[in-house]
Amino acid sequence: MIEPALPPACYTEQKWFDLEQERIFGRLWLFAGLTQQLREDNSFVVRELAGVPVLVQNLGGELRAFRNACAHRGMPLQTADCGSRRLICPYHGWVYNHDGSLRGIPNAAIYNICDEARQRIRLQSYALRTIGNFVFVNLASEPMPIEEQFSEDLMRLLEEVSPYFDSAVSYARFGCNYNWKLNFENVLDWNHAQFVHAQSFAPLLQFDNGGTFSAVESNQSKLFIPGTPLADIRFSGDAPLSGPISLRDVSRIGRSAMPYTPRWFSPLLEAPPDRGAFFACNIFPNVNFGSIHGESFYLQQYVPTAPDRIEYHSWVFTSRLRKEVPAQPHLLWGIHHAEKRVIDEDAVLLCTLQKALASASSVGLMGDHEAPLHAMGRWYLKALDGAGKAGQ
Amino acid sequence: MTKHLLVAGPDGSLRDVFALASEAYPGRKVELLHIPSRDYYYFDLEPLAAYPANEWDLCLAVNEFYINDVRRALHERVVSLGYQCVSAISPRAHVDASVALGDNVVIHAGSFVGAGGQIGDLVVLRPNVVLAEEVAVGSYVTLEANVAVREKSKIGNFTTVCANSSLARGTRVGAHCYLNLPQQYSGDIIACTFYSPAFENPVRVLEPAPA
Repeated sequence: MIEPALPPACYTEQKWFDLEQERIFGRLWLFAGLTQQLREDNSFVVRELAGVPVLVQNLGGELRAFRNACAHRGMPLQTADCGSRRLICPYHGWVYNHDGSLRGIPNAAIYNICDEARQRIRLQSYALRTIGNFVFVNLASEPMPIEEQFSEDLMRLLEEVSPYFDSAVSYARFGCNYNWKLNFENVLDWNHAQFVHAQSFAPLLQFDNGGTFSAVESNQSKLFIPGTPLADIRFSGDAPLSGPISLRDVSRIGRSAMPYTPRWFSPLLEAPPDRGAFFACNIFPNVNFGSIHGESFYLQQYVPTAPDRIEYHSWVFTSRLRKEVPAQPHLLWGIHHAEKRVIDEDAVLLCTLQKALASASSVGLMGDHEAPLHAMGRWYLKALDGAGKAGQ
Repeated sequence: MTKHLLVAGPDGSLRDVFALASEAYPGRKVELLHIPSRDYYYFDLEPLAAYPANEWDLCLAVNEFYINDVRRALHERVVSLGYQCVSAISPRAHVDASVALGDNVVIHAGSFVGAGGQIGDLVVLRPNVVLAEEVAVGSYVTLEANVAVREKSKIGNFTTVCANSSLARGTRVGAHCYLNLPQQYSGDIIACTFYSPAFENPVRVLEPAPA
């Protein structure tokens, strides 16, 4: 048994939220999108990360991240969530080069901007890294190396699985009324699946009497068995119950066998990489990515917008379709409905828990299997450093 | 000699379309045939062997929740066997003489299709659908009961509009859309957009599918 690391106030109070925004979301690498959405020149995605409007755009074949604000009046350069459009302000037509420097101003004479000042005008840029198809952005002026945040094993997994992704992605966003940490803790807590997802996700897994996964390992994987690229990957083991924890170890990767039954769309797929298994990457601070049989993939990001509110972004896609197979949007929507059902099952409970925490003096207790949640809590308190003051 | 007509499909919509076809073709021998499908994508066409293509035309009936890919998959299979697909249009529907109709269109009673309309292949208009003048509807489109589509609207292929919806004048709906909220739609709706009660915002497939 473990005493919880986090006080209820960190889930409910604005002071804690403000500190998190500055010291966690303002410093860590944050997921911003998938390269499937950013393949064409001028294609872009717009995100709100840590309260900052962020634009990620393919400019001449290179992905770049900027504050989505024109240097003139701060107008967002791109106003849609995603699409394809040149880097030009819709308000007064200011145009920017690929590096964010100013390219041109229509009716320039009326602004009376001298050449020297004009040379200094540029968009505010942010650091960007891609790992496989996953695009990460860091809002800090001096970003930490991404290798300090993610383990080599996690990054290898994201790299190696990405070539299997189909280019079509179903995307939705919606709001949920609970703290982001409840979501991260929830995805670390595999023991809830039998109870909360008894009719949806749990039947896909196989449990023994003690509540642990017990399906027989399949030898069909193209990624994780001997002779394949990730045969030597180290999945996250038991977390230490106390003491310091590295940021790299707060994120976790896991995989378990899952009985395989072909689904109606299985023959449409070219080369699913992990039939007979389920893998999940819980990527701190706010991303959950995983696969069912390597046939379908889910990607979830829960962006905090208030102490008791997140904006939930959800992507689903399949492994590559065979070349002769026509587009299957109906398939993606079917998978997305199933995915949303599972998310809703969690959301109903987590929303109730959020309300209960507002009047709680402590969070309760944890079992040894919940050590990863405790470890996250310890790292979180250290990152906020002086967080005790926030609780005063 | 006019060929017989076989109404075929995998589900409960078969009886409805069979009744409609019997009304539409009173002088023609009309039969119905269930085509088994375990997964709604792959079909057992063995029962069709008793109805040779040189003696029978087909009218396909498919009831589907998602976009009309089930219908496409079945259609491709039967066409490859040499069958011709014919429409079933209720004598109690009004279809203006100037309307251009594709193959295997199903139009139920009470529907109204105004002048200058264009309707693609394998389109289904459920009871009391109203298409005002100059409406263009793509192929494999389903308009559920009591849908109204106003003048000069366009609906792309493989799209479904749920019951009790209306499309405002000049609305353009892309291919592979599923408008599953009964409301008025207007403006441009991008291809592969999915309005569903399960999601507070429309779901989108971010790589547009070919029309």
